[in-house]
Amino acid sequence: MITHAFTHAAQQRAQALGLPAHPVVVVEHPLASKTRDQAQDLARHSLEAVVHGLVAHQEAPGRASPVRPPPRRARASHLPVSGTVSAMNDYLYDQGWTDGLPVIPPTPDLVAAMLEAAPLPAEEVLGTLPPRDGTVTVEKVASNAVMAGCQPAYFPVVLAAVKAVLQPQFNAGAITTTTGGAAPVVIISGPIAQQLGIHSGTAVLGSGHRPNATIGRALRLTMRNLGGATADTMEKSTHGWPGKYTMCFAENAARNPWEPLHVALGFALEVSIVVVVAARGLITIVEASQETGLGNLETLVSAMRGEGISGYYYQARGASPIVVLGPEHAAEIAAAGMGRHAVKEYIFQHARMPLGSLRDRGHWGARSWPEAWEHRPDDFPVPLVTDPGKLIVVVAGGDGRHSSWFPAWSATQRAMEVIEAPPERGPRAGAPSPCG
Amino acid sequence: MEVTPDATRVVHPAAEDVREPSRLAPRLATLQGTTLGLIDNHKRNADVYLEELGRLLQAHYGVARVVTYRKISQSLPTPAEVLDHLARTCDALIHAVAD
Repeated sequence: MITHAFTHAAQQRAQALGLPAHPVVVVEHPLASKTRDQAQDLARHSLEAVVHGLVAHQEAPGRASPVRPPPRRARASHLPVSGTVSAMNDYLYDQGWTDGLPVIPPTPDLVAAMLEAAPLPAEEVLGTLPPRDGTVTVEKVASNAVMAGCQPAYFPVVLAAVKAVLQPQFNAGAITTTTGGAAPVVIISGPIAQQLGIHSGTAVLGSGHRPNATIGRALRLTMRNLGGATADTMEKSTHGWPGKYTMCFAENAARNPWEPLHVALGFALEVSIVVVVAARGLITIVEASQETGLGNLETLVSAMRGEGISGYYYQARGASPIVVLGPEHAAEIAAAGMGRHAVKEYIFQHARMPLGSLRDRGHWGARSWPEAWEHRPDDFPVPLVTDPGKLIVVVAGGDGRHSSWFPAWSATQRAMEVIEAPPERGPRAGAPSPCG
Repeated sequence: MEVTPDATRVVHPAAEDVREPSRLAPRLATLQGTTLGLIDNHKRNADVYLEELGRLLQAHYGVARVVTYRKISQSLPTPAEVLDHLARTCDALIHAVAD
């Protein structure tokens, strides 16, 4: 059963599953805000359609086939296009393959140059990306990386981000179909950040740096074109946020007062990783009056409370909110004797909401948290996370008295991948970069 | 200035998979005496809707038994083992709600 606002999404998903004729009962949208009597009334009105779907529904003849695993090798087709770059962009946009911004047409030579930087062969299948369940090959990702404007050197990072999103606990299908507007935030930690010039300083969460802009964009285009994350089909965000275009940055290693993020997460110093979190948005705070690290944290945490923050109703899955400390705030917090673990512990203890204030608000009706909390009194301080280790604390940004945090989407867990270097190859004469 | 050849090719960036259609499970000859499984995805009012539906199907169409499973989260798939169990023990399943 669906509400009418999800008709197109349901049709697309049924197609992706090979069940285009699956019976669906459609009721008035929304169901969630109806009264009990109204919801029961909808059940009565849909009874006949339900019975029809159970006993009388006819489908077109088709042969039964079990779900097949994706092919081990699959090459992309080449599509003829003609005209100017503008005309080619119009074509790609009309196909629904862009994010609305101009793209670099993924001509075979540019895709080949991108593949030169891949640690895996072009035909390697990385998985299938829900909800469209498109087969994700290295070549397809390369095509999207070209479109995004990536330099070939960035491609190993793009591949790592895609592999992260394919990890089952990340729940890529739900990221796309939720009305909650989730978008992947990609954090790079390790030596490759400096090698590739992935920006970590001033305006780190803004615009103007090619690696940041294009790596995140390549991931989003891949999710769009192979996963079906297109608006008004299977992408159902009520609002979304600009992270849906791109959100990728590196840890500010030079101004990080603690161990590198990837070391804190259990990786060797010489390794570079991506950490990908599905986030609902970005909130920035100013704290320019307090003189201590603790004061900075108090103000930051004050921006991490609210009945509309979905994390307060959904701790069971173990999502990871991201805290981005500006370097000045981080320095003061470190000077106060606090390391990353202490910061997480502080946030865990103080980013809390009284249970009574959450009742009948936000996602109350669909809450998913420890059973024991159901019996707590209204003054029970509900934490944003059940474990301080779920939080990601990273230092990034430039000068100024600001920090930020990304509220995590709910039914997802962070995903991490090591960035693999491409195999050693000789220089390829005349290999073009995506911008010629 | 835009400089391109008159005709060129692009590497298809999107999914080209075409899923072979599968056959739906055969429809029931009757609802009399059947066991109906209801999967509540935990969206608000999904339980209210399904409970009323189940009651009506028992009262007016002879469904003998209703089994309800409530997902822990609307954004997580029903566990495969739960689906397998429901498919084995129920004559039909109804899932609500995509909202």
